[in-house]
Amino acid sequence: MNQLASLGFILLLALVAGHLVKWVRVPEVTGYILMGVLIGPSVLSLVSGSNLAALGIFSDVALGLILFSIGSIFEVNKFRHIGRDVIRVAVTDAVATFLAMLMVMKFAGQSWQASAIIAAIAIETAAASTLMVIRELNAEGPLTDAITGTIALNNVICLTTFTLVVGLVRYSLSANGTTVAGSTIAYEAVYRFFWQILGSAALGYLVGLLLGAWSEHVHEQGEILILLIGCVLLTVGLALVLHLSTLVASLAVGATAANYSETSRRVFRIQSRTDPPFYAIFFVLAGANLHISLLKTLGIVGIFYFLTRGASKVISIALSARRTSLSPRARSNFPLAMFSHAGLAIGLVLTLERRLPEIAAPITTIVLSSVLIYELIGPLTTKFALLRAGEAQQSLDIQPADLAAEPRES
Amino acid sequence: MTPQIAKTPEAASHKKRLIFSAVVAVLILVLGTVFRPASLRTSLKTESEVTVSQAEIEQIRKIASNTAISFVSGRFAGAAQIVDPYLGVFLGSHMPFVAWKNGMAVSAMPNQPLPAEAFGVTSSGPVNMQPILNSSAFPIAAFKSDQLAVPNIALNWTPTDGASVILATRSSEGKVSFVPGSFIGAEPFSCSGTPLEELRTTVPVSARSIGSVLFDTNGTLLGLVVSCRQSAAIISALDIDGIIKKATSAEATLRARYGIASSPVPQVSKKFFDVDGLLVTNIWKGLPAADAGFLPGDIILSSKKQPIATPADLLQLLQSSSTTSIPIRRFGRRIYLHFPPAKNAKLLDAFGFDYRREEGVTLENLDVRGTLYAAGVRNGDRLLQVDGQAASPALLARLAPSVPHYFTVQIGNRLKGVFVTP
Repeated sequence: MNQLASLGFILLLALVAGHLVKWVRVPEVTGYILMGVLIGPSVLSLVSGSNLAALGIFSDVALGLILFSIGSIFEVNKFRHIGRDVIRVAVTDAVATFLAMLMVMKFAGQSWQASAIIAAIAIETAAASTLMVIRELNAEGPLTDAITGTIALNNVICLTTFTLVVGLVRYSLSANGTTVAGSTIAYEAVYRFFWQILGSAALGYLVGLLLGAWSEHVHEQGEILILLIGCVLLTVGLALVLHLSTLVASLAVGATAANYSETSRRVFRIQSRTDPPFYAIFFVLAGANLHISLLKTLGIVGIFYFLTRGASKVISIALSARRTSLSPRARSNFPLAMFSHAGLAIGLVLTLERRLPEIAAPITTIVLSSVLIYELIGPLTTKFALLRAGEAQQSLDIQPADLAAEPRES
Repeated sequence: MTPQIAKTPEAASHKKRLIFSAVVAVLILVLGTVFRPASLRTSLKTESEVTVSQAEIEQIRKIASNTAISFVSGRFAGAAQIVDPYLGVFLGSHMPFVAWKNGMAVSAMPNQPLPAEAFGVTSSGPVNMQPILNSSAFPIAAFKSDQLAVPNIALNWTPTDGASVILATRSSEGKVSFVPGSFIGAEPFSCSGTPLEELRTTVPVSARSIGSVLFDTNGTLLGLVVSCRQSAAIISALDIDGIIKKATSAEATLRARYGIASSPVPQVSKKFFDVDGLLVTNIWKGLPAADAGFLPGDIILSSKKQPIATPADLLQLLQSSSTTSIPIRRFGRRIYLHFPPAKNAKLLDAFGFDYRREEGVTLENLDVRGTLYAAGVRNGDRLLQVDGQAASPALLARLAPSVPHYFTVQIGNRLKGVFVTP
């Protein structure tokens, strides 16, 4: 099957999957991912590996749009209300997950270098699948805002920690007889750190200004979409060329556009109506790239990883959420929405294979096999959390059984 | 900005802030690009120069037909002027041990850049050949002719300070046995073992034996003693053949000739991302792979028609005589890179260059391990003469691949003579 036919096939099957999973009250995103697994190389091989690779460009566009959308959470007025809570939860979660995973991995026999890298990756919560569940449920409310803001910060913290840790590990390995001088590695590490964060933010800011200023002069919905997709593609493309973080840059575009003016905020409303096909392709492709056979390689360390990440996220978010302004019902459901684990984690593992090939192999196995499980259960728990918190606006999806299951507030 | 808002003082100051922050953002991007660490630019700079006088050529030619050997021991640091038998060179004390064989120099200090003086380079700074080969073998003609060569230094060399010539035999399985009566230091001994890295002797070994050379009974260099553990009676010797084999492997050839380093795609990535092939781990600028557009992180995809599982497969593909379209996976997408055909595999293999007919004979695809490259010749330079005759495709086709030749190359407006050993 050629690439265009594959694309059509993927879209139609995504639609079928979306319908099917509604019957069993599972999020559409899980349906897309499962459909991807089914048609991908690990089960039916209906879409070939080369077609998957060729269609990857749609994933880049979709991810750029998703992160752009998440960036709107940094709109100053909104962030002023939720900022303190979001920072508290995101930082506590990151610190607790990092430390817990570091200790457990060291205990499980990994070197401290590998443990630190695994711990940095474990911090990540997948932005794309969580946002998709929020979109599907038309969720709105304090918990939804807190989740979106926390995930945006979480991804930036994860990327920052990973960059720092890899720099330190490379520096420590340089003392053991590599050819590159320690000072060179130290400079490279510091450079990468600033370039990935500051450089990416600068690029995103500039494109965001362009988007904001231009959006004042375009009025038709079609024109706004052309402007939006053009800016997102420009950001992702330039970030790849300049070796910047597409994540931070896309977030920065969204944040800048959200703050530019009231007119520029129209972009977000129009975006949410038109991008579902991209997302459907993104998640079916993500599913097709998951390999069920990796479960066999999970191993005891992988199980430790899975359990430690889950436990530390639940405990740290539950404890830190107590000190937020969220309602008790929202607080109790907050941790469940933060399980998803995919996009950035997979990207970081790929980066690792380039930058530290000598220790990448075991880390790749541990992380990717757990990602497989988390990516399937994460959207389910997120949906569950949003329904229980009463922030889902899609009343048709809420069944009497769900309402009965809701905890009563005392 | 809408015109209405722009008229108010608040809007004007808002506009100023926006312009200022945009300038700061541009500045960050510019500074980040300017101060990008060299290691992230994946470029390679090598500068070396050889000047060989016409009078030396005949001398060199005579010597080159022998298997010539020399070495230097760090224990003789101050007097470390043992020379390359082809060209002769003063070596600084940075290089405790070096041995030459078959046109390759083997250093006992792997993972260390060779000092500039080892190459007789007039410019300052180390000549970092390390990124090219990542092993300890180097092209011999990179060394400068300051001192007259000694045809067979083993015969002329006087052992001092304990180091000596040790005779040994090596079986077809690689087992090394010392010839009874050979000496390490002043002690009579006998020993045998394999591999060369760990030879056990029957008597304690004097540390002063470091620097000794191991010859077989035919006078062929086997190894170079680099450490002696007295208590355990173990000597470690460099396996010169092993190092040369490594340096001339498909992997090293890919790096040296095409400027590309690769490693197999990890098993787990193969499964997870459904790719099979070779992961490009490094690319060196100015060499064919970089020119073709390869980047570190690309995966050269394997297919049933064209399996790419090892560096040898890739080398074969790149050496193909037709233009090759190579499928790679980059950022999750499949793209194709076009690789120009290798025209003269014989010249490449024997002398480390290819050529195109443009203003006479213009050199291209220089192998960075080759003598020409080490002598400062680069792609695009013109080859004028070979052994005193005007260079032409017909002459190059006739060149005997097993005999050393003298090449005269025009580099810019300079002429340079380079003696090239196959």
